[in-house]
This record gives sequence, structure tokens and C-alpha cells, in this order.
Amino acid sequence: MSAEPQPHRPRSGPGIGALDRRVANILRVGFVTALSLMLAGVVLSVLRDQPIGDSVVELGDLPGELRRFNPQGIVDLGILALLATPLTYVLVALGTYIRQRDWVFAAICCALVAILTCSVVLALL
Amino acid sequence: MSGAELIAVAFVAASAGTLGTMLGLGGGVFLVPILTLAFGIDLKVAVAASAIAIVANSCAGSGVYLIRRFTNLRLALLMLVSSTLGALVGGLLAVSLPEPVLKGTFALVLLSVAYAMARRKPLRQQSVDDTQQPDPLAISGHYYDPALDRFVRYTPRRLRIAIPTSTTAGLASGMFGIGGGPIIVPLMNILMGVPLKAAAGTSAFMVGLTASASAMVYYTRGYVDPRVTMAAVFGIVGGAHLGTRVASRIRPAMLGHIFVIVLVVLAISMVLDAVGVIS
Repeated sequence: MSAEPQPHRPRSGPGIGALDRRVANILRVGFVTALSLMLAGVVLSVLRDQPIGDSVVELGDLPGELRRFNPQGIVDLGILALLATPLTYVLVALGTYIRQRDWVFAAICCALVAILTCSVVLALL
Repeated sequence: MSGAELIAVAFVAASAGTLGTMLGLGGGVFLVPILTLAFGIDLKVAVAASAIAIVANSCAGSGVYLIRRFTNLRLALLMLVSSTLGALVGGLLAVSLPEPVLKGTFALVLLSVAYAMARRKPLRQQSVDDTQQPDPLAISGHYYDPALDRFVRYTPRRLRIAIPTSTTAGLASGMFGIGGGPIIVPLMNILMGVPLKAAAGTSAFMVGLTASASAMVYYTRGYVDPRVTMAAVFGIVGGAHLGTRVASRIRPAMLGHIFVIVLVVLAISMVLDAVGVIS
């Protein structure tokens, strides 16, 4: 008698719940960090009387602006921290699914990382 | 833009966030046209600010949904592939389209949302217990519903429908910064059999990653105004928080009718702005 094909299931059920908690923590930390940086930039701009401009600093110039504690750079870093938060949890999910040998969802996470990377690369072209 | 104008932007964003949350539309659908029409902000700058505010709002709210298991992480990741791809294409399309064309298209989208709101049927609070059906990707979910005082179990169906619909939601999010909730929640609830709480929780999680893909396009192309963005972020997040608290005390049907009219007025104003009748 031939065995029926088994549906694809992750090896570890409880691991899924742990991933949910990890992703929730990343969202919370990312949100608080981003908003704290934005607020810090605004406070610094008032203290130094350096107004925030109407456009972001170019990505290549950002490290230099941060070394100078430029308020504009700190606000921009806050915005980037917010935009990087979803990518961070996708990377964590990818690691978890690889450990669980859940190859279908590891591939899905790889596709998401590729699309998010493309969003930066294509925009720079 | 003066400090007083930025405070006004934050106030408008808070109002848009409150009303958008109460109607289940998200704040962007009101915020983007008002920023463009009332404050004279470039449409692409307004869309960028709205997209970043959507990411912030999703990060702020989704943690609780994940812990309560209202967010089905595996289903979300599966649908995010097509919605994020749609958002990326939408973002690239929006930055290359002329402003009048973008405004005209946005007016059509606003009219579609108004039409859908006027015609929408009540969503199902819970699905039938169909956990016996095949689940090859292990995307079935369960959560504890305090209102029912029991665990609700469900298995999403018709995954093939999810791909084109979530791509459309992503495209709308990328082009107009309106989030994909108004498309994704009814899709999951009515067509895929996901209970309303799980559909809303999964959608709230999805719109953050979807919007981040297009927001990066706007960021690298220089359409992000940090001052407008911060006002939108703080306004939308605060407004959405308020919206969830007051939503249960308001009759949604009456509110829905009022905002159908508001959306139609905004759409007409957008067309008039696009053809240069008002500016």
C-alpha cells in the first residue's frame, strides 16, 4: 500500500508562536526607536536653532550628518529605522523557517527580502 | 511650510487617522487628497508621507494583534509577496507619471472606494468551522475571541484569488499611499472565509510591509519631506488610537454615508485641480 502524500507542515508547532512574539517585539522596538529618533532630532533642531529641511539627506551623506549630530540626519535615521522594521522581521522569520526546515516559507521570506531590496536598488537607478 | 501649518497637517492627519480607523479604510484615503488640495503639497510628497505613516501605524498596532493571534503570520507572509510586488510597481509608476495623470487616477480610485463603501455588505464576524478541509501550507489559524468566550478556528480558502487581489491592493498602496485594508479585509473575510477579527489583524500587519516597499522608492527619489512626514506619522498614529476607542460608540452606517459624500467631493476637487480649474 503506497503512503499518501503528507501535507507540508512546519516541524515545530510551538515555534510558530515564538516567532509571533519575536515579530511583535521587533515591531514594538522598531516603532519606539524610530519615533524616539524623530523626536530627538526635533528637540535638537530647536536647541541648536537648526531647522529641519524639506527634503531628506542623501543616503550616502547620512553617516557624515550623523557624526556631526545634525538634527536633520537624526530625523532621517528615524524615518529609515521605521522603514527598515518590516525588513528586519522578514529576516528574523527567514532564519526561523530555515531552522525549522520549513522551506516553502523560507522561500517566501527570501522573495520578500528580494522585493524590498529591489525597492531601494530600482529607485536608485 | 511654517510651524503653524505643520501643526495643522498633524491635526488633519489625526482626524484622517480617527475617521479612517472608524470606517476601516485607513487614514491615507482622506489624508493624501487633503494635503494636496488644502495645503498645496505635491501629490508624490503627500503619498510618501502617508505611506510612511501607514508603516508607523502598522508597527504600533500589529504587535497586540500578533500576541492575540488575530494576525495570521503565515497567511500574511504568503499574501505579502504579491502585495509588496504590487506596491513596488505602484511606487515606481507613481514617481514616473506626470502629476495631473496621477491626480486623475487617484480621483477614480477615490470614487471606487466611495462606490464600494455605499454598496458594501456587512462582513461576517466569523467563518464556519472548516478546519477539516486540506491545508497543504499550514496556514490555518486560531484565536481566542473574548466576545464569544471561545477559540475560533479557521482555514483560509481560495488562495488563488488572493494573489491578484493583494497585488491590486499593493498597487493602490504604492501609487496613492492609501494602504490596502479596504481591499484585503473583504477579500479575506468574504472570499477566503477568514473571520473578521483575523482578517482585520492580518491586514493591519500586511499594510506596513507593503507600504514600506513603496516608501523606500519615494525616499530614494527624494519625495520625502521629513517635516510633513513627522506630522503625518504622529497625527495618524494618535488618530488611529483614538479611532479604535470611539469606533464602538458611533453608528457606522450613518458615518459611512457622510464619508461617501466627502470622498466624492475630494475626487471631484482632485480632478478640478488636475485640469487646473482650482489650485
